[in-house]
Amino acid sequence: MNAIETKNLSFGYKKENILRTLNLKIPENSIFGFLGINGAGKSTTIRLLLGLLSAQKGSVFLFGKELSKNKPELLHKVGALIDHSTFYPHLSAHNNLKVLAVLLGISNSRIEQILELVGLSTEGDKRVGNYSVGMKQRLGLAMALINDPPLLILDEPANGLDPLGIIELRNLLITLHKDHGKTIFLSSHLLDELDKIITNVAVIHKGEIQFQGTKEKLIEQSGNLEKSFLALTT
Amino acid sequence: MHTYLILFRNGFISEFLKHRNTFLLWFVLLVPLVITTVTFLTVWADHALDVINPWRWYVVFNYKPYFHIFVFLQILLICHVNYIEHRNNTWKNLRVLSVPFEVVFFSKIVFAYFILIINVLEFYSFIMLSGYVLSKLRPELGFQDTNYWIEAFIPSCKFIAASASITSILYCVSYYVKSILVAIIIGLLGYVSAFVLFLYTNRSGYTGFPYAQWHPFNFSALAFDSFGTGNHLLNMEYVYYGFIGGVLLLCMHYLLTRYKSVI
Repeated sequence: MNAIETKNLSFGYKKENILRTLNLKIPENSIFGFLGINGAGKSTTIRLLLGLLSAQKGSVFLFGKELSKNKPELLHKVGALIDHSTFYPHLSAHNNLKVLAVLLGISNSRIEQILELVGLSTEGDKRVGNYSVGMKQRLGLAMALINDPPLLILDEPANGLDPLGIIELRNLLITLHKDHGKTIFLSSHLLDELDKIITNVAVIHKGEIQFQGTKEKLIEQSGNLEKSFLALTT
Repeated sequence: MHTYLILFRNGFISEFLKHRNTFLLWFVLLVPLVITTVTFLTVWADHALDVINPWRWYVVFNYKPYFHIFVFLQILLICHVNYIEHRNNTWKNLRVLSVPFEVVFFSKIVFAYFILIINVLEFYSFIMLSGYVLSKLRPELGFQDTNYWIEAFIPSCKFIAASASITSILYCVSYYVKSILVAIIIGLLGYVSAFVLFLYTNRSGYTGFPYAQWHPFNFSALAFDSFGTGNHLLNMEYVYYGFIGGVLLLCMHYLLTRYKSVI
């Protein structure tokens, strides 16, 4: 079964079409890279996948069910990291997670578990306002993972990270995929980084899918990921 | 417990966790103590009372400044419950949770209303406590000879119910206006315009601007208007207007917001 599937998904603002009949298929248990230059439609697609925007045409299916008709049930299976700094900076990481845990009816022990998993257990009681960008991204992932969802949707998770932060994030995503069986959908324009972790890929350009399939299949087209990507987007 | 009740309870606790370390929450909870302390010290220090019921006089004496200050606290608190999400860009986080949106939406307003009710009850308790202390410290004022416990409690309930319309207006404004400063200014304009129109009225009717009574920010003032005159328990008209208007506006706001995209 596909973790995510879109059927003829279209979206636009006034006369501008952002997405045109998008048909995506993200297989379960994959790390799916969603590639595109700035303004290609990646973030809009992610907002549609999460129900933050309503599609003008077409539908989004998560685990075989239509999102618009089963929103709370399906969102329970999704963890999302959408933007930077979407925390309460006056609270500690522990309390930021507690706000979500209480709302979702999750026990306190899960908070400690998840802080340990993202490597913030020793910093959990510090105010988030004093965190580095890397720590904030790890906390963002912790928030996405709080209810142990099988699917993670991450919008540019490596943005603003230094090289060490990028390596830490990469290792964390690989651990989540291999050891915890998560399906990960991530958008990025850091091709080298994606090359190291993704199993499947889609390339979007001007709101249309130019390619989707396995990473190997894309690389076959021009020899490496970068060349193949450039060939599709220029 | 019913699933929805559990969700609302969780939503309420979650709102409390967000606000518990904020200056504003403690400020709102401390203001009643400050007002009653000031009025207590004024009466204790040098006030000579020449009234039939010192309790009635004392309660009205406390409520007069409180009524105005309460509206400011209301504006600050309601604007803040939405601003905390605007400032931190956390609406998106809340909208992608597996919790129905109505839980998030109504938990916020219930939390804000709960804090305002605590504020009013706290104020009432401090008045009673300080009046009791005055009866011990200055028995010549006559506090020990009369009481006003129930008569002072009912206006507090009327006041909080009638102010529902102000709460709903502010909740709606601060949801759509991301800047807390602009939202507060809109709230203050509502208060000032209501106050100016209120000046056109007299205590028994409306001799000036004929529509002054329909300004939503005036409902709580008018519900409170006959307080201390003996017949305030009968004056429920503006309590109904304020409360029903507030509930209707809140429901309309919810329906408008329910399907709004979050970009």
